[in-house]
Amino acid sequence: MKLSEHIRPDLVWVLDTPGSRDALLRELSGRVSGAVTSIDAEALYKSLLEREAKGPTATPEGVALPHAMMTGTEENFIAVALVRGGCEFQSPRVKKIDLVFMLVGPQDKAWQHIRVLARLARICHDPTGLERLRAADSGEDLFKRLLEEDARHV
Amino acid sequence: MSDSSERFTLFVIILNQPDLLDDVLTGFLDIGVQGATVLESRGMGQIIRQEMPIFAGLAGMFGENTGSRMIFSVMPEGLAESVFKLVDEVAQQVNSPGAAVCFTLPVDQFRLPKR
Repeated sequence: MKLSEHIRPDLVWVLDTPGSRDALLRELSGRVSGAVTSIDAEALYKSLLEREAKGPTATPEGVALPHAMMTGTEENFIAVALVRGGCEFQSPRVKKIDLVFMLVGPQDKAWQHIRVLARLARICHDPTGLERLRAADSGEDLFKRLLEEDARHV
Repeated sequence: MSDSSERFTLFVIILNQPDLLDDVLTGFLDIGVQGATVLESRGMGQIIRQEMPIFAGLAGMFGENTGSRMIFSVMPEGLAESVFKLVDEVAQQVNSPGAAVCFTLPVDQFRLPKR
């Protein structure tokens, strides 16, 4: 599974507004809805919160992988944000996250959803790769770096 | 899952570093391996160290061993090469020869129970 099939440059951002977990998810939901107009921002936000309520998607590497399966899309896609200064993510084990990979997909493609999530987990498990991602200075740069990290894995 | 002409292989991994299990299974999902069976196991060296005092003086030959995991997965032949590469990638993290040993065996017949 290659990330390149599921990311697009207009859904990759570097943000300077850390705030709270909920504020961040709301902002990202709005941005996704702005780019993918068939996605309802409020429905996405609620779906992400419901998933977080089952257990935080933040990882010890300082990455969050919020994800939702919902109507409004026929394919799984990823929105990515590097959050300057980091953001608390309501996880007892993780103080702050600064990279967010938000995965959104349809309910009838659950297996593909799991595979994309697994791909992200592999990429995010490489500390050197994460350092390279964190060095991005723009969304465009982050998008390019993501493709490079993706290519480093089988 | 497949048409009847598709060929399958049994992929076996002996994971001598159990800490790597999460990485292997995550990689399986990423590659598209849909299932596997994982067994806790012990290598010969561990048994000799722990249960055969006659060899105690030579125990160092077998190195430290904290147990292993056996991973079995029947998969389409076409996935096997990707899994070999995955195991290489995962094992390189610990830079320990023998961290993971793997091989494939041909599968003559493979059937899933009908639903």
